[in-house]
Amino acid sequence: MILTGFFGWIGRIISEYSRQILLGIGRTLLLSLVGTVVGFIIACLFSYIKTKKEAGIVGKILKGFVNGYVTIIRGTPMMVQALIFYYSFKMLGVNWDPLTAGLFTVSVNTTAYLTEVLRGGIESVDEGQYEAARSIGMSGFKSMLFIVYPQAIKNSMASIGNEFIVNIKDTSVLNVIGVIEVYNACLMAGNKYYKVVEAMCIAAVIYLIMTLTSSYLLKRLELRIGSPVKEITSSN
Amino acid sequence: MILEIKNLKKKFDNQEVLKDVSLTVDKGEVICVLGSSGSGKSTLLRCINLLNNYDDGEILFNGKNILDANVNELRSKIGMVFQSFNLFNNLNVLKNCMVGQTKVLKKNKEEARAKALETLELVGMSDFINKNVKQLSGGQKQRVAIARSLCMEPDIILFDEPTSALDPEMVGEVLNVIKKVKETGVTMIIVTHEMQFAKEVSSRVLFMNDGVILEDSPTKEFFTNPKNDRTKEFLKRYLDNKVND
Repeated sequence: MILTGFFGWIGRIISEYSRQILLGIGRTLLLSLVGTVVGFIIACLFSYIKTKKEAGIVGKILKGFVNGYVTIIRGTPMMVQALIFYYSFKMLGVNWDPLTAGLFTVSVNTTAYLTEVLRGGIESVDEGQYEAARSIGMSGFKSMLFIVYPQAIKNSMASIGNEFIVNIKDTSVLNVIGVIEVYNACLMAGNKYYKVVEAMCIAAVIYLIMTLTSSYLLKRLELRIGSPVKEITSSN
Repeated sequence: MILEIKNLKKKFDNQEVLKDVSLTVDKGEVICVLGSSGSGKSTLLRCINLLNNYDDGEILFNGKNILDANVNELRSKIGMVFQSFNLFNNLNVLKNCMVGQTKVLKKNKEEARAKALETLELVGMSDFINKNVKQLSGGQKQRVAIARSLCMEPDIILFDEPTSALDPEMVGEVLNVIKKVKETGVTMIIVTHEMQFAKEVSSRVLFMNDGVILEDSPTKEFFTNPKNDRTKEFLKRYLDNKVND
C-alpha cells in the first residue's frame, strides 16, 4: 500500500514534470562540463604561474595572486561564492541570469581545484624532463608546453575526471541563486504535492546515473590517453 | 678555440665545488674528464651550457661570453647527454629526435624527420623509431639521447657520465656509439669513469680533484707519465683493480 503510493507519486511527478527535469539534467551537464573545461584551461595557466621557478617581479606578483585565489576559493563553500558573485555583479550593473552566474561560479571554483591538481601533476614529472628540454634550447615556456604539460595532464587525468563528477553533484548548490538544475527541478515538483522524499529519490537516481555514466566514459578516455604501455621493470 | 674557461668558481651554499678552473678546448677535440665523485666534473659541464650558473670567472664560447648570449640559442649549439638519459616520456623515439629541430631550429617536419632518421641510423636505433621510450633498455635510451643531441647539429656535446646508470653489459654499446660520433668530428667533453674508454677515445684527459683540474695532458702522456701525485695514486688504484679483475 505504502509502496504503491510511493511509486505512484514518483510516476506522477516524472510524467508531470518530465520537461523541467530533462531541462534540469541539461543544465546540470552544461554547468559541470563548461565548469570543468573552462576551469581546466585557466588552471593550465595558473599552475604554470604557480610552478614557474625563475620568476621575476611580475611573476612573483602573479604567483601571489594565484596562491591567494586558490586559498580563498578552496576555503569557502561554492554556495556562498555563488551568492556573492550573483548579487555583487548585479549591484555593479551586470544584468545576468542565474544560469550564466552559475556557469561563472562553477568555472571559478573548478579553476582553483584543478590548479592544485595540475601543480601536483607537474611536480610528479621528473625534473630531468624539463632540464633535457632546456638543454636542447627550448625556452621555459616551450619546455612546459611540449614536454612537461602533456605528461602532467596525463598523470592528472583521474583527478580531472573526478572533478567533473564532483561538479555534477555540487552544482546542486546553485539552486540558491535560482538555477533550475536537477535538484531544483525535482524539488519544485516535490514541493507542489509535499512529496519531498519521492522527488529527492528521483533526483538521487538521476545523479547516480549521470555520475556512473561519466566515470565509465572517463575511464575509457583515460585508457585511451594513457595508452598503457608495459614498462620494463628494470630501468636498464 | 671553441671554448675557453677562465678562472671559473662555483659554490653550492658554502661548499666550493669549482675552485678556479681554467680550460681551453679546440674544435674537434675529444676530452675525457676523470676524477672521483664530487670533484666538480658534472658541475663544470653544467656550467658550460648554463644549467648551473657560476659565481665567478668567464666562459667564452666561440669567443663570446656565454652570459651575453641568448641562453636558448647557446644551448641549441651545446648538446648535453645526461646520466639518466632524460628522454621525453611523452614522445616516441623519432619525435624525441624531431622536437628540438621543429620547435627550436624551426625546421619543417620533413627536414627534421630526415635528420632524425639519419642520426638514429648512426646510433643503430633505426628499427625502434616508433617505439615508446619506456619500452627501451637503458643502453637503447642513451643511444637515442645521443641521437637527440646530434640532431641539433651542436658545435660541442657534453656527456655527463653517460654510462654510469647502465648495466655493465650495456656500457659497451653506448661507448661504441660515442666512438662513432667522434668520427663525425664534433667536439666532445666526456665525464666518465670508464678508463679504458677514455684511453681509446680521447685526445686529452683532464683529471679533476676537489674542484680543481690537477692534470691536463694528452691522453698517452696522462696514462703513461702522469705528473701529479694524486693522479698517480688514482691511476694506480685503477690498474690494481684491473689486475684483480
